[in-house]
Amino acid sequence: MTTTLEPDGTHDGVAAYHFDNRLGGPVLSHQNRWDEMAAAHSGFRSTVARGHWVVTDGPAVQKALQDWRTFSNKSVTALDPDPTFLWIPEMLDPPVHTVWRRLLGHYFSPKTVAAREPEIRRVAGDLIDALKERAGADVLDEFARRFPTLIFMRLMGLPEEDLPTFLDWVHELLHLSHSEDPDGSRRLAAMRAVSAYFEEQITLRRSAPRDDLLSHAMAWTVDGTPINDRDMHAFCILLFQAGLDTVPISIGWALYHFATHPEQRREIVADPSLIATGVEETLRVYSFVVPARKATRDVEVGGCPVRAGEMVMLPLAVTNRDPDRFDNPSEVDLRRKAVNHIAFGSGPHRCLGSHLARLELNVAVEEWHRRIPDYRIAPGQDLWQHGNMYGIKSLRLEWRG
Amino acid sequence: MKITIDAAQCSGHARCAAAAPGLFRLDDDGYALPYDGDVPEDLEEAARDGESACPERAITTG
Ligand code: HEM
Repeated sequence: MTTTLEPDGTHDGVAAYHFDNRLGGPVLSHQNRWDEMAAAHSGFRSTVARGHWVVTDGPAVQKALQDWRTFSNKSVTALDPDPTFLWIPEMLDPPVHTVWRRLLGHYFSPKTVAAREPEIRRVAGDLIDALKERAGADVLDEFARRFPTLIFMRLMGLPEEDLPTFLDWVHELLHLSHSEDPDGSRRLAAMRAVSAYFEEQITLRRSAPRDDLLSHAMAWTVDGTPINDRDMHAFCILLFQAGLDTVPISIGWALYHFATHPEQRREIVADPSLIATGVEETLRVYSFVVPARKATRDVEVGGCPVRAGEMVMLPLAVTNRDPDRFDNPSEVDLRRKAVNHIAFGSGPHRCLGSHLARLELNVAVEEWHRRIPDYRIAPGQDLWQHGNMYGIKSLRLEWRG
Repeated sequence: MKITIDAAQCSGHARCAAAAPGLFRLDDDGYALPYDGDVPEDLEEAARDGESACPERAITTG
């Protein structure tokens, strides 16, 4: 199946394509297509909906992410330049953004996160122990999606018995294809349910604060004013979207990678000190996040004549698979010297959860291979990845028989 | 050798401290603190590792 884009004329002299990032495709198809587009263009126009620009020059993508004055987070959805909703801190610009990041920084710092390592390791180990006696499993549903979600719920102070409900909501919100949810009503219903859930959790803590992140955050002030319930809610919704699907997707890619590269798998099993670089390399090679920004002024980027108010898509895969930045860019190299990738973004919106995510990923890969060192992709699957954020839809591995 | 850290460019990836833990220090939120003085000769290679680990290219040594 080819995923090469069909040209759709030109726009202001720049090549145009009907490029719809919401559509899924065969495993790795989006990443490979970014390579193709980056080899041919430094930027192009997508003609989907009202149209938007797409930058495919590695350094230009990063520079735009760093330049928050020109590339605002007022909208981060390429197809929706004037959103009626707010996600905090993602959709704020400095200086208010900086205030939130300072308040949140401590809770997600490398030191704070490291203190949780024993607990994180225990949760991962217990889940894998339950799987290892079986012959195989869908490792996304039975491990990759449960493990980080449990950690997230503990961090936020949410009841663990809500785990199945949470996993359902993530699925309904982020994983449905157009044919499964043609009018978007399932997505909307899930969004309403998540919204109502957090409203209830906030109300509970207004009357009886606890010792958890949510309760602490409710006592913060921004510019001298206490955070109101509306902003608290905008923060919860963002954390839900940013924190719940990304680590599962990355664990999925790591297991996919080591299932399809048995020599490298044997290497990390024999020498677990290679895992740290292996994790960074899978984050880099399988880059799955595509940020977007709204231009605050007329500007040229990646050869695109962007006008104030227009949306610009900034695929991280382009920078992370740039042959000018990395030798053999599409290869996972367990001994690569400098893995200075931007899979967690770049500039002021660098992933707040990156230190937690990194720890969870390292722990997942270490504990998995300690218990299940030998496994393969179960035959008879058409491996497929979602659009928007490129995560594998379902991945059955087998390790017995 | 000196280390210059562009504080405006540092976004708190904390990769310098992961690459060279004895050398780069982080503030409470994980952003790199300035490095004062000369890098001891036996740590020059570590300093260069920290420099090349930075995703923002906010570190220069020399
Ligand atoms: C491997 C897993 C993860 C990846 C690859 C990832 C990636 C990213 C990226 C690329 C951004 C920047 C988006 C932009 O520039 O518009 C971001 C932002 C963010 N991420 Fe993550 N993320 C991961 C895990 C997490 C986790 C576990 C949490 C929280 C528990 C989290 C919370 C956030 C937040 C709050 C932001 C917004 C930061 C801001 O706007 O200042 N992420 N993430």
